[in-house]
Amino acid sequence: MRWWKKNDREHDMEKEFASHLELEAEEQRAKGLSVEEARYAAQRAFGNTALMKEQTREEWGWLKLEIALKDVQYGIRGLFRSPIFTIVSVLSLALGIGATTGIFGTFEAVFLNAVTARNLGQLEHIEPGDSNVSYRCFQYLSSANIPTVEGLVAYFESGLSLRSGTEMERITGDIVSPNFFAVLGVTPAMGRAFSEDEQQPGRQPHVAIVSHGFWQRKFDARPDVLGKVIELNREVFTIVGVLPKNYRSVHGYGMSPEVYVPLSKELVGDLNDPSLGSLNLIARMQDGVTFSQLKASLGPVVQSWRQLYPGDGRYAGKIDVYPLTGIEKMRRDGIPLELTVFLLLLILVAVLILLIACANVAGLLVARGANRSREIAVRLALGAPRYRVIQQLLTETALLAFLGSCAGIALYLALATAAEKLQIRESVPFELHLHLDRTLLYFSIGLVALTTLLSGLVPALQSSRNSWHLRSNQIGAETYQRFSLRRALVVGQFALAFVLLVSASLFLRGLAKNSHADPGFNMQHLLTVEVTLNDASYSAYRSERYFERAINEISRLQGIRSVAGASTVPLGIEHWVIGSIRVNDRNVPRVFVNSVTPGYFQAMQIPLLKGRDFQADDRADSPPVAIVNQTFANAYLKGDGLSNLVYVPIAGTGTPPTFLPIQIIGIARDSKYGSLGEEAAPALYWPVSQHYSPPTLMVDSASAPASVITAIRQTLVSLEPRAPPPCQHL
Amino acid sequence: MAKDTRQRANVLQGTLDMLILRTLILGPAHGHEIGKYIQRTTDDLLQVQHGSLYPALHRLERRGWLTAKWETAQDRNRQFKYYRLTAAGRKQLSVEESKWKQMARAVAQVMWPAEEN
Repeated sequence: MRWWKKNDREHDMEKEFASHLELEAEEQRAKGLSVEEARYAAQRAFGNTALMKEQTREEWGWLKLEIALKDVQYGIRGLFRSPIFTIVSVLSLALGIGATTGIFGTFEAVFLNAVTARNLGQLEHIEPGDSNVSYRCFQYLSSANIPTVEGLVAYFESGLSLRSGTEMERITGDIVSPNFFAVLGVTPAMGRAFSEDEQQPGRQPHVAIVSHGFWQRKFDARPDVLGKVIELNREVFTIVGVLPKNYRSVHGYGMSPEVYVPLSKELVGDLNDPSLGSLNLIARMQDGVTFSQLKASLGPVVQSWRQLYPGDGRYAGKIDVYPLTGIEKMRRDGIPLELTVFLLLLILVAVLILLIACANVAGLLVARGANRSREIAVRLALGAPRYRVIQQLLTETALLAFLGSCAGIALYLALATAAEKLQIRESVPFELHLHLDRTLLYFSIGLVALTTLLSGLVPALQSSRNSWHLRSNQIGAETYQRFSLRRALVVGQFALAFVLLVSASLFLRGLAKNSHADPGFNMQHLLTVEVTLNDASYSAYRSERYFERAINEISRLQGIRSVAGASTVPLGIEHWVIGSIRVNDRNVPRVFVNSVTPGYFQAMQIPLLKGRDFQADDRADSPPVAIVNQTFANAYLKGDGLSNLVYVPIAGTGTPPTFLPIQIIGIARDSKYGSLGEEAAPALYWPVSQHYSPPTLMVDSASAPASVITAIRQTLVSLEPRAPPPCQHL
Repeated sequence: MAKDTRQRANVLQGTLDMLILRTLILGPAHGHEIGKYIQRTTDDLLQVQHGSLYPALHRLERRGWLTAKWETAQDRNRQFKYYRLTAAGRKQLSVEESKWKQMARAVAQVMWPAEEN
């Protein structure tokens, strides 16, 4: 007989048992017993019918499955009978699981596994002595056929001016070596990756691959986007591909450049200029190659590169290799360890929430178990083995946990969808792509199992034990025991909630402190204006003159208190940090550097504590000068600090490089450079006229910035009608 | 209570199976007859709870040692579920018999060593 014939078999057994009892009763009657007595006697001789049936059924096999199904059926009925209990428990678990997976998912998306690539573990960042390399160096390394390296790509992030109609817009793009997507193992969702014949940088026509977000934003997700052209930095690019929706860029942290274009002369200038080069390198290791093997095999190649170009001092440092994700990358990217710890704590807190949810459900189950003790006692009295009762109760909690985790995952998916829609259009577009990946799935399944055990086992054991005793009418003792467990749960819950409260308030206090942190400069009414001049048609000289005039013109506008230029915006995305400055026979390992125009300190409202500001006659041909901050002065300068000399290595002058002596002419108050949370760090300013780099204009306006934006825009357009209008943000 | 019943069933299980197979060698019988037969032939010494025969019968049937069929009894106008020994059942009986003999001999050797000689 098969299990689906169970009903037949059940009927057969009933009939068999009945005929037995009847026969026995007949015999007893023959012995002279009354009808009634005979029936009882037969029953006595037979034993516990229900138990016999159960034992007989067990012999049929398939019983475990049937029992499980029965338990599930029974459990569902039970849950329906007490809907409030069910709803509260399911919601409680859903919140716990949703919060935990949500926070874990965010952490995973931002930090843990933040890059879309095939075999992410095979990819490593490479820094051959300098974090950024020249195109010449990249080419040399690519053609060196390093045995451990399967492929080598270069990329760098760049602001690009996108023309749409008459409007110009500043977007962020990655300029990449054409093998970029092939080596990463990323296939565009539409179209193709850059092809082999685009290996030649600067090949016409230009091609571009755009992000899914860009496609939606600019092309309304129209399917005929392939072959369409966009204009970037006044060059025409044909779109050949659209990246997958949940593509996570190699930058990590949810940063999502909107376009990808191959390296070209038009975008980066002369590729063979050795001083030019801000390429980042990523290598894909051959199968089975370890991290240290890769590092070791790079040594000789970089060494021969150094011998080939001994003048190129920037590759003098040690070779560095590190993975695309994880703590090491976060450290190098200047993500403060505190933030990592904070996020880990957040996960911990979320897990605590889940534990509280479990405790809540366990508490409810104990209470329910108490209410059901009579039912359980009856079941035990009818001969139900204790393990069956526990199994049944466990099934019920497993059902509850299952429903809870389904609801939790649904909640998580809702959160993830909401996160997808969240597009923070910072200077770099930020997109969060949470997806329920395998790690997360295992994590949730683990949580569900834990939840079932935690919230199921204890009450189940206790209920059945209680009922066992209840049978012997010892109600008093049992209620006491039950209450002691409940009290323990309440205390535990209270403790967890307290931990949560304290940690939450600490985080909030930290956040509040951070948002009130003094950056050391004026942030109110400060406007930054970034003008991109076409590099090809503007020499450094012409560009310098342009900015001089721009600053001059803008400062004469109404409502402008002061205006200045700086090559890097403090607290912006890019920082300029140099090492190996020597001063008073000491080495300064790490200095924030900024090229600024006269008036920068005034515009930023950073007080000069000593000395003077830069002046118009600090020109390229006059003695080199610099202003340092307090931290620098206190740590490295002698006397009052003024007229001390710092020695700065000149790029491209060999190993050891030639040092340029620079005289300190002023000391400025400390401010924040990289991030609000950073410790006081040494910083050095030099005049933009002596270290030219296209400045961003910093405008301190007397009135609200919005009112002066139009005026500034008009001024700049009148100065250079061909230059893309500036992008403004606070 | 539940526990006790299970334990007793476990103790009896092997023996009970053998007794049932032995009984059915005489010809087909239904559950009640088997129970009565065992009780009678052991002079009521082996008190088998009748109900506990059925799990054993169903187990033996599932293992293919017995077949079962509802048939009308010759002396009455009623249907009973008759169990019959199969060839495999016969074989199993001899296996169990020899096992039992071995065991009985072993127990006897321990209990009454003198009588052996």
